[in-house]
Amino acid sequence: MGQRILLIEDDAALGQQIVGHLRGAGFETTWLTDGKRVHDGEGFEVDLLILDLMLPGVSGFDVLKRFRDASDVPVLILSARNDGETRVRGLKLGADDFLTKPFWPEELLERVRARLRRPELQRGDAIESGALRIDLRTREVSVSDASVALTATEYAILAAIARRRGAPVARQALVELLDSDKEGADRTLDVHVSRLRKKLGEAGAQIVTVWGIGYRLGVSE
Amino acid sequence: MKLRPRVALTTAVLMLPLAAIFGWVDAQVRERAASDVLVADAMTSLEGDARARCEASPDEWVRAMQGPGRSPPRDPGMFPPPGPPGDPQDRLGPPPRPRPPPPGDAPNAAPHVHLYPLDADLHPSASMIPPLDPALVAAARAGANEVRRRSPGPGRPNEEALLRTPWGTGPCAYVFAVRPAAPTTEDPQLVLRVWGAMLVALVAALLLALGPIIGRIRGLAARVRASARHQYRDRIEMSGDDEIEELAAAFDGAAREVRTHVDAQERREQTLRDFLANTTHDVMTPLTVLQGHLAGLRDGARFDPARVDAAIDEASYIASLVNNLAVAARLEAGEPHLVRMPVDVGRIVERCVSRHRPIARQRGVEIACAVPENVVRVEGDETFLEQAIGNVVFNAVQHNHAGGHVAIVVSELSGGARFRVRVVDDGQRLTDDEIAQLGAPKEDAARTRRRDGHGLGLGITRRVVDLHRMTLVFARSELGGLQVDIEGERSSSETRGEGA
Repeated sequence: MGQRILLIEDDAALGQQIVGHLRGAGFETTWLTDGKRVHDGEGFEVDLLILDLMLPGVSGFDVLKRFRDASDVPVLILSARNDGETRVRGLKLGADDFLTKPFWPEELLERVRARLRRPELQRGDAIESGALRIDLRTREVSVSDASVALTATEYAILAAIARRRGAPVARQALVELLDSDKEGADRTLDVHVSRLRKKLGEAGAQIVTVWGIGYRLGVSE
Repeated sequence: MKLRPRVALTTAVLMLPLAAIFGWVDAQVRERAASDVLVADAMTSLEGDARARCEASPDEWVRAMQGPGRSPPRDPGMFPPPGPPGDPQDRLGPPPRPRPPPPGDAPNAAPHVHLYPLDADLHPSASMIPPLDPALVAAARAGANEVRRRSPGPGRPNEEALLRTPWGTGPCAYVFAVRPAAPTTEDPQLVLRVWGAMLVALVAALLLALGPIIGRIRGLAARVRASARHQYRDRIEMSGDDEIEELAAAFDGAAREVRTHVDAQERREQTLRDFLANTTHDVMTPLTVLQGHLAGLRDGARFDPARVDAAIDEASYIASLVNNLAVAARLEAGEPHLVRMPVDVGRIVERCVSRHRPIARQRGVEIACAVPENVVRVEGDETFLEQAIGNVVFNAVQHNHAGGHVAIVVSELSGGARFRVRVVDDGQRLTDDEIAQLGAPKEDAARTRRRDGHGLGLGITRRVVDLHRMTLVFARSELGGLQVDIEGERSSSETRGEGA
């Protein structure tokens, strides 16, 4: 069963579109056209609330306040108003993110997934990406259960990009992990990554070069 | 009520009770002085051989005290018939030495004091004595050495005192001292006239003094009215160094404040009018293009993906334009109101990438961002900062080509005290002159915006960066296109995931 999302949007056409996109992406979606039920104490058993601020009857801010009193799940605000006061008021009432209209469906889904994702950092845990396994506690790296011997620099680079799996890590941040001087380190970073890829074998393909930024482990977010 | 009659009436109302109080106090002081003089005169008469003479013959002593030509108090009913004729001076010795008249009183207005002896039980020792007030007797019996009263008399009242003599025994243990009433020289009507004249003179002087003040107040009122007629553009000034001049300065300050608000209001209204005009013009054009694409899709014989892409491009442009026009309206309306709060720069960059990824994907441009593990927070207006960074990202995507790249990297600088947002692309190569122009502020962002340019969007970015005391630097990217750096001071440091 997909994660449950409650959508409160009064516009029929937009609401229908959003529900279609969310269900298409595998989310179990409930759609309300006003905030009365939430304000009356229903609809809290969800994983995410998508809330339009401009609602008939009960205002979106009142709904947010009532919802936040009863639930800690993430709240994504939809608003045509893109001013600081509205955003600050929403954040103060407990909103987690703002999406300003108009938006593309892909943008909405990306924001929803980002809000439902587990915390990015996995310190103290083992990170697995395909056949690759990195134990951050014991500093052991294995591919398909076969241990891989890495130098301290290679491990540091791998651990840095593994901790933010799927997200690019800037070259500058990786260069700072190296011992050599900055000029030399910038040049030798690519050498270290090249060796690392070779040592990881097929799993080495998971270390992706990201144009203009640096490296990423695994598929893009 | 005008100022003059108000001042006159107030003065009169205040002066009447004041005059009454002054008159009452004056009368009290005079009475006290007359009483003191009576007691002093009586005590002087008891000096020397007065005791022996009194005790030898009280009646003779009484007559001697009245002296030749002295008249008894003017209330015949209070006194017995006069004593035996003859010159009391022959029988009782020399008369008491002359006493000076009471201070402040004419000699004929202060007749001699008449003394009547009483024994220790307060019984009259002389045959001729006016009736004693029981209250005086009671007070003396209670132990008082000196008791005073005023008894009614014609014109001025009699002054009376019952005094214990210095020896306090025998037939002359007490004396009853009376100063008969003298004809008063004070004319009540004259007193009233004097006080009335003083009051009138005072009011007249006040009204006269008020003339120049009222003139200056009227002048000030005329200047304020004139300034108001010209929407408070004229200065309100008065010469002099008094309260009226201070009042004029206060009016002038208030007028300037009103003028500032009116100007700000006019600027806002003008900005709104410009915003509506610009929005109408700039949105209608791409909207017309969008309608054209949609009509082409509806009427076209076959589905044309390129036309859909173009329609999406137009919609994206309209959205960006409306957002920028709204921000520009807020920035151009005088001093913009920034809603400052701790802002996560990494989150802003991620949102910008998320917003532009759909259009970048459609154009075949790869877009990615990297943010440091440590949260980079700055004190700023999140909406403005997102629009400023978003405009740079929008341009990097728009001025790119299929297969191109856009990368946004947030870095910590100066050991974490500062931060940098770097947007690089490998799109359109710009000449040095074109790069220099990007960094130059435009006088009127609205007039310099153009469909294929960086006018409005970068103008907003430049203004927002300035408002946040950040820097904006354009350079040619080593990777082929443009490199835009936004740098500023960081407000705090924390690890991503702990406070983000």
